[in-house]
Amino acid sequence: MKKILFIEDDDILQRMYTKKLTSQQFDILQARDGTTALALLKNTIPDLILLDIMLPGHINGFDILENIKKSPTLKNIPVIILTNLDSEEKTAKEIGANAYFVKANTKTDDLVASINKLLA
Amino acid sequence: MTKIPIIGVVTPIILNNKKIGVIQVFRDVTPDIQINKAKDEFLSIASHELRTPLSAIDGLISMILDGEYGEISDNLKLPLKDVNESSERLVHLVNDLLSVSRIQAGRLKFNLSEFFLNDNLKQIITMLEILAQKKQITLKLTDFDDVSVQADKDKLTEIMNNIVGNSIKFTDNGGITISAKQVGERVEISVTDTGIGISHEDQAKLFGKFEQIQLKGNKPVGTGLGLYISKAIAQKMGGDVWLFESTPGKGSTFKFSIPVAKSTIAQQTKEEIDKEDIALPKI
Repeated sequence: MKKILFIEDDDILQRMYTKKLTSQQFDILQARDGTTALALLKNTIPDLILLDIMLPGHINGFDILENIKKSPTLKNIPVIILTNLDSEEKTAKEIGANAYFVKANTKTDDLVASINKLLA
Repeated sequence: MTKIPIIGVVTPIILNNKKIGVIQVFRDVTPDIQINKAKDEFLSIASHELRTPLSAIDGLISMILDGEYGEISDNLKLPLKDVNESSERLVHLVNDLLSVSRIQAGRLKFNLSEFFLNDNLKQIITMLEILAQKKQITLKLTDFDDVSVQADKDKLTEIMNNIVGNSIKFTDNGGITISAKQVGERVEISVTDTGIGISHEDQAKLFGKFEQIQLKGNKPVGTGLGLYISKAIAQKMGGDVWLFESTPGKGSTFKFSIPVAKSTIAQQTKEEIDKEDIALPKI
């Protein structure tokens, strides 16, 4: 079973996407802020990371993405940005995100298709 | 050493047709940058906060309808589909309102690139074919001499989705034909439908904000902002969107132009957009 680290601070969206992804046979590891996410990444290497940009605290999604891309053990893990900010795609891709989705404009099936493509 | 962002204007002093010197005026643009930064932040946060609950409503209803939470009874299917459709309309409205806010604040960002038009139009049409098939009408792209254009790919797709989407919406028989032709330094994309057409009275209101064509016996669909946004975006990219011709009961032709890559218009457009970026650096 492929393991996905899902970094999302909104409880409702965390529950919704987790439900969708577990029904697609993915193992979901949840983090609701940057500090928790980076702590988890010290001990776990997921197959894919699903990352929100606006997060509570002083670590945002871009900081996490930069950390991942600088780490020799994590840099090859595909990262999908899942956000409701529509103006940050260029920045996210420049840092190294593999895909960028605006939640409100994305069907959950399209997200699953992108995950499957990146994990193939 | 403290660095201050400035804009400079150089004006020659001419006396008896001879340049005898120049006056250089520099203006500290720190306040302009701060205001624009505040506008960007407000629009980003507004878009984020408005979209977050909407994405939950839209996603959850879709998943309920797909049976992800178990089987749903037949008498709930129609109201749930109505909720789904309404939430999708709300997402469109929020997206359109945010685009209008960005246009009015002068904070719409462009990522210009050069690309060949044919493949791009084919991709857009493939996405829209599903909508045409649902209405059992045709959607075709006629062959044309491919040309390299300069535009923001995502924004070109947004404009085409809007124009072709409107044509599909207002066409019940026949279909839509898309063609392209180079005219001077621009490429003109024509979208011709065999739809209901637009009355002379409505034609004058087409590109205004919140203007919708009222159909007899039908409620208008959409936000009424699509053509206003499309025209503003196209003009910023060095082109335009306009109604070429329309006859009530027979159909309409809309045109959309964008500059040919490396043309004078393309270079001027790029300079204008780059200038805005230079004048408004992130601080």
